[in-house]
Amino acid sequence: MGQLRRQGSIVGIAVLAALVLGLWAGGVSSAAPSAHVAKRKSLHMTDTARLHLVRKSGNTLYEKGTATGTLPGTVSARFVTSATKVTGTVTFHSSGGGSITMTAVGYPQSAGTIARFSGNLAVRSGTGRFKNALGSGTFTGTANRRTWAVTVNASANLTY
Amino acid sequence: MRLRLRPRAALAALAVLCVVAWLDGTAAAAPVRVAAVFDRDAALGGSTALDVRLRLDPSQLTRAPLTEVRFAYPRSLGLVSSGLGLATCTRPASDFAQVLIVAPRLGGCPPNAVMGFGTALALVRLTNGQVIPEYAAVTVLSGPFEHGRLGLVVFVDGQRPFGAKLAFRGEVGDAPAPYGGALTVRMPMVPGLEELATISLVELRITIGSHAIRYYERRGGQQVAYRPTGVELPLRCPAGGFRFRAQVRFADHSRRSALSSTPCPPAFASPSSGR
Repeated sequence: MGQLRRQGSIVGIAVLAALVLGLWAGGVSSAAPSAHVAKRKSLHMTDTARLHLVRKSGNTLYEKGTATGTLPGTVSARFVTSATKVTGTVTFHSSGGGSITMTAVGYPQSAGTIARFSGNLAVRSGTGRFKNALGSGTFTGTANRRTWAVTVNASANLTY
Repeated sequence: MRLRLRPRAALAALAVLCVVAWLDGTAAAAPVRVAAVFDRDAALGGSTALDVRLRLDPSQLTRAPLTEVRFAYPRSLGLVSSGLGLATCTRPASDFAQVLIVAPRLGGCPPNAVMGFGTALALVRLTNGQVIPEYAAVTVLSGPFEHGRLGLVVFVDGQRPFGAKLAFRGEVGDAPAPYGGALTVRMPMVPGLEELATISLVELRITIGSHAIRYYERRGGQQVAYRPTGVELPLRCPAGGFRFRAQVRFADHSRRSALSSTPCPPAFASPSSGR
């Protein structure tokens, strides 16, 4: 009987311990994301970037310019051209501080002196107030193939 | 005097024999050969004309007509980023399926569509067995943008003795590494021509971004001619030089290919490097 009582109390302690641990673990697991989300801000960004050619190296174009819209400031970009698409890295340096770097894949929609293009972008990193920025979006634009002046209209949702 | 001339003549004869033997040996070794050459003053980081030479040895190839020529170029070479092909040459579909009786200069296409000039030599084998060489001028133009690719239009303007004028369609597409893109020109059978003769291409030489190309733009209300920027060279040389690949296909579905590597030009851009 005494052994049974001891066994019962051990089981009771174990169940209690499990419940306490479970509650604690549950609390941590449910509390952590909400705290994490609460720290991150979200932003819908709609910007127009006007870029000019800085230099070329083979199939790669290096461009700089200005952005107007949600994040006004300066923009620098590196575009790698191929027969059917253009991949690039674009960095928005916000005049309010911080920067956002995005990768972009664009597809030409027309030829001629003024070529239209459109594509998708992914926000991968940032600095300053945009540290750890993440997001995605789309863009359309035109490129003057005589001067390589490029205008890009980008729209993206991001958290930081 | 005689004694001095004889060794010279013997040396010259020996040199000629060596060259002939070397050419024979090369031809025997490779039924298809390709070579790509940059401007003499080209420099890394600058722009250049790209002279492509394709040679085919009909004695080592099928007698079936040529149906496609594909020329792959290195990934780092800037063809799309060049200033070539700013206008579009759009021709009716019927132009690509017949011998053109009347073809205006550039096939009636805008001068700003020209991407390259060249020449071709073909052997025309008549039904009676007679073989006649035909020389032609070739113009490569940018065509309509279709299915996400830049189109090409190639005009072959026969000079002598037949003077046949033909138009072919092509495109600039992707190519697997180490190549970045490929110019493809398709040569379907021209109805009516196959009953008269078999045409075997022997040599095709095209200069993309040729110095002879002139574009026109409006500046200050006036039409001004300028030479478009040629093919862009990267600042760094790819390992092993610039590698090119040519592939030809024939009507009997056989295909042949050839590789070439172009050495790197100097690593500095002089002001006169083709810009």
